[in-house]
Amino acid sequence: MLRIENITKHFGGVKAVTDVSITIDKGKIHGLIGPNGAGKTTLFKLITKVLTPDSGSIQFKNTRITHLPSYGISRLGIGYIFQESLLFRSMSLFENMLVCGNTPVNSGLLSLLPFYQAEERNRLEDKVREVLEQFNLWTKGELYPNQLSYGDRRRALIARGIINGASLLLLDEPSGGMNSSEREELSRDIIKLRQQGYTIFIIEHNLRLVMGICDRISVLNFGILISEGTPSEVANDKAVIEAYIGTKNE
Amino acid sequence: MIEILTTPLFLDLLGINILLGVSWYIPASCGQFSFGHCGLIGIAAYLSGALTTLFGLPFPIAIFVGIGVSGVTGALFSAIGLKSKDIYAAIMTLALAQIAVVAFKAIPATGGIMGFLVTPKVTPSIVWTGVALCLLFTWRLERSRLGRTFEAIKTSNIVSSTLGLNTTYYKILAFGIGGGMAGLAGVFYAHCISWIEPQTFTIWLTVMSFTFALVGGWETMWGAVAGAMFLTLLLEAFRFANIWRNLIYGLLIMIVLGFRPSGLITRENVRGAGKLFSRIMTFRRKKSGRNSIPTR
Repeated sequence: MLRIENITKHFGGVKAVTDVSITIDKGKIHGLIGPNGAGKTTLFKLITKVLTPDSGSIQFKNTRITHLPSYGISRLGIGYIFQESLLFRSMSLFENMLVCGNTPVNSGLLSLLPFYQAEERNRLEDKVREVLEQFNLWTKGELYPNQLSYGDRRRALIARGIINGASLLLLDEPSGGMNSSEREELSRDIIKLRQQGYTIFIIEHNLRLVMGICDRISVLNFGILISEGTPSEVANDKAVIEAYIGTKNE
Repeated sequence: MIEILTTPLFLDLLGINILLGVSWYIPASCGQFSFGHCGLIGIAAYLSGALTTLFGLPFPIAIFVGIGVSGVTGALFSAIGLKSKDIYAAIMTLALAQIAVVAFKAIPATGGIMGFLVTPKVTPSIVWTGVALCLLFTWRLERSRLGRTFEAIKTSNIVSSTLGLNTTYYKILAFGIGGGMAGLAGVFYAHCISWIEPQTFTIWLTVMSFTFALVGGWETMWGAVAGAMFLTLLLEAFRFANIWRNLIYGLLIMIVLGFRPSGLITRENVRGAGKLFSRIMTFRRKKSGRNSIPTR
């Protein structure tokens, strides 16, 4: 579904990502782990064109996306859920869900007409309701982001990605800052999404969560792909253990 | 004092200032700061003045041409300005506006540096009809998907892009709408004051526009309206102070912004007023035995 080939990004002398190639299969949960500063978030930003790669190519559903702008990549069905909780603070949760560029509802000047596309608007609102109910957030639709718990805010971002029509969700540390019960709820949500046919590419520091839900895992260290395989293969890989714990000489 | 406040000229200028504040607020609601407003107002003022006075065309045609040309020019300013980023984009709009001012000076048909006399056409009823229509449009804009999109882009350009929104397009659109509204202010100004000259359309006019929005609060259009009314009245109220008037005016702006950095009217205020209004309406409906209307 997503093919990253020899992607490289350097910031001056800092080699953030070097010659990384990863393939994400449809309908799977693919984990991306590595110590701090390994280049995980940079890789997500390169996929979504928040950053422009120095070299290499990325294909999504057999379409080369490296030359597309961010909004074009999003329109193909890639939803990026940022590490920081980025709900629009001046809008209620419900209104936040309506800010999507990939729905058939017009967001231009015609949207000022009260009865224009009434059917499409109702359909979108029904979809918002359905997705928010799936994430147990519907009753909180009138609340503003500062009135929601951290866990709810994070899950709301995933909900917005789905409403926006994403088939591949890039989750950047979704469980960061969550307590254990929120983390368990998140795990259940992610597994449910896989069952519904969504493909998930997830960066996560919580190894227990990653090992528990991922079908495959890639490991980055200093911007280089050092290991890839099933959770058990990666857990027993010497290079991964060294990257996390260090070598005897260190 | 009351006599001055009820003169047609004062009422016209008050309406024009409200238009200036709201026209600056619209691109700002999409995270775009316009320093080129003076140019847009000037283009509409000169063009509409020339159409009615030199070519004898009807005033409504001048209004539509003024709005259209300023709107398109605003969109062009923005498209060029967006080649740069952040404050550089705003400075770019100022540079483009200055080019417009130089052009006004160079055109002999419109009096060059001396300016020219425009046949007066506006009355307070015309100006306030324009103001009412613009406020209605902006009120609707704030509640529409387009308004929410502007707000999203203002909050985070990157997140908005990753949500599939073509942020460049929306920024240009916001500038175009704001430019059109600034154009209407320019048309009214030219046909109210009856004398336009290049010196009128300097950076000071831009500063005035964004001061209205900043002092009133640039989170909602009501802030721009309140700011324009407050500062216009303030300037009149201190007319007796002669040369000290501008000093007092400046000091009062500093005091207001010192105590209310978000401006006189914030989004919270508007939300609170909305809730209060809906409570009153619900109470009245209950009293009259009618069912309340669902909120969504």
